[in-house]
Amino acid sequence: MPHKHNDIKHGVDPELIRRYLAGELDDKAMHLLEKQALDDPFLAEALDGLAAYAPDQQTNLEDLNNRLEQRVARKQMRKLPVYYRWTAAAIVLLLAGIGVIKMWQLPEKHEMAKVIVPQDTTAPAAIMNESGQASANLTDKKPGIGASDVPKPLSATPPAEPVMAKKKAMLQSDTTTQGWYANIQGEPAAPAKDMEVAKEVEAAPSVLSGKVAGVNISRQPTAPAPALAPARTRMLRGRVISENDNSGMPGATVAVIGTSKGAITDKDGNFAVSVDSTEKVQLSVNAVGFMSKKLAIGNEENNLNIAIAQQNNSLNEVTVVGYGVQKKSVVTSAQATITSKDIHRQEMQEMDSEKSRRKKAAYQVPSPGEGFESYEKYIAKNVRYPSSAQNITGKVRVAFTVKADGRLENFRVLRKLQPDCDTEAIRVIKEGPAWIPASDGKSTRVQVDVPFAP
Amino acid sequence: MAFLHHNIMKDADDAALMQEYKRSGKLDYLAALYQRYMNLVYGVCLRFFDEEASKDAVMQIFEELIVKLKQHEVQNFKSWLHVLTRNYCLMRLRSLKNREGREISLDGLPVMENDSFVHHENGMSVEAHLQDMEKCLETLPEEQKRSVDLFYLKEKSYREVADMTGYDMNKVKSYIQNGKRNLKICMEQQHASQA
Repeated sequence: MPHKHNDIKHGVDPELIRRYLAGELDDKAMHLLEKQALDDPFLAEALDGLAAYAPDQQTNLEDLNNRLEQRVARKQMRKLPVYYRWTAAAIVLLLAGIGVIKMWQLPEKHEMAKVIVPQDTTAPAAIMNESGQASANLTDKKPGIGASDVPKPLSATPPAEPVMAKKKAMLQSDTTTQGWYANIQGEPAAPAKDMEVAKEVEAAPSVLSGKVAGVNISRQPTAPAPALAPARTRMLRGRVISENDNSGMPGATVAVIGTSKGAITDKDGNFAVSVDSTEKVQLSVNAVGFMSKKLAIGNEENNLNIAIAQQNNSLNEVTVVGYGVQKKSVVTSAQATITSKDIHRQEMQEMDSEKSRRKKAAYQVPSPGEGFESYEKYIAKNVRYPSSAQNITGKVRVAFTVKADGRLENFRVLRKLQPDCDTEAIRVIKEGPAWIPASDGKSTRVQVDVPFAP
Repeated sequence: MAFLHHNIMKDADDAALMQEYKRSGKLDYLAALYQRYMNLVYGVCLRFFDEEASKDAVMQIFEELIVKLKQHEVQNFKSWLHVLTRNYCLMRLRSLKNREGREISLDGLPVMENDSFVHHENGMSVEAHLQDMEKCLETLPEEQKRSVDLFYLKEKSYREVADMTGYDMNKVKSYIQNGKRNLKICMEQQHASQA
């Protein structure tokens, strides 16, 4: 019988499965498919999975078929390496060509760039050129005034002439006349005249002292080159605090989203990070055990107070899952709390050598002679509630050393309740049953809680 | 030529298509092969993910297939694909879980019956020996006996068996599965004692 199924080359018809799941098959056909599924775990599992969804998966399957076809087609596209190589070669040549041209142009641009900077700041001299006359005149009396603003042009042409207002050329230089920058503004209708002007300027070496380089013809008003504007940053300061008690959060990370900048808060939660002063910035604040927080900071804001909320159950329990089998091991806290809530023991030695680590495998902490349960009972029975305690309820945590020979010493009260209760707690332990020392034969510190209730 | 190809893709058995793919490296063959089982792969994925994620998984499994089929010597493509699918889904589930830190129950997933892979094609079928196993049938627990009897001997569907016995549909499934396995064990023991 399984042979029959193996001979089916095309898996199982999706339509058959759909009808089966929709309950459209008769019992005979259902039986056949079910029997097939029993011999074919693949089919059985697929049926299980499909059963949880709508029976009609036609659209999804069609979508899958399309995606598969696209995937195959993509691969075939790659099988045209000849074209790719030619294209690649052409692109490389093109890039190389552009590179060479750029290299040629580069020195001129440098010259221009030098001049543009003082244009905004140091009020260079301006040369007016009007009505296509190309009579370049140098003026250094009117610093910082653009061509269109000049009320009294120094050329011979009357200023009222309409052509004049439309045709302006501005030539500026810095005071040291290292280079020249000519900006010719004009109406779109007269580009040819613009060119003329440019030529004229070039042809005026007597005025420009032979330093004409990089004549720039532009239809836009000159704008300072963005690359030359100094990158403006500012220090954004603030403090990260916990939402619960408004205390500073040390060690929280503050990152500026979209950049590689960031900071870590100091012990009081303060931080400072340099940010772009021109724009809004996005900060992301993270701290262990707290919810991360994202916020937008306007470029005016500073000295922020960022409160972050504590994250509950941020540490999940560790769950180990195998194939098909599930196992769960809950990892307890770092301090081993060994028995009931009242008894804590703390091990004080360092376990650093390999030898002691091996010992630790079978290591037994000190324990009361009759076990912890009867020890608890002993304490409960023998603690005398001091009359001075005034109905206080609570517990006293006592730490002491169990010596290698089982003697107890170095009593200290870790959690105080009331002076008489504290001494009573120590007394009860001192007079109590003997302790079995730790299995490694070393003196070990132990903590015991002694409850008091009137 | 194209027509010829088409024919090969449609009628060739899995092994031939696998061979052809390994030889030529052409994805057409692999895609034709994969298409046969895509609905099953998709169905298995649906056990782990929702519809959209399952579709993505199906495509990812195809990507794995492209690589892995070249590396491994595969005898039975269908079974191998099933294992590959399961493994992919479980791996994916784990990595998802690591990221989200939440628990996804694997309780509902049946433990794989690996023996069915081994015995899948050796022709040693349970049904062929049912006659000899009437005795064994008697040793089964009542529910398994009734379910197996109705399903295999009376050829009823799960639905009918559930109706006739009053058992829950899912129970019926597991009765039949377990009954079948018990019968096989019983049968093998008999063989051993006869031999």
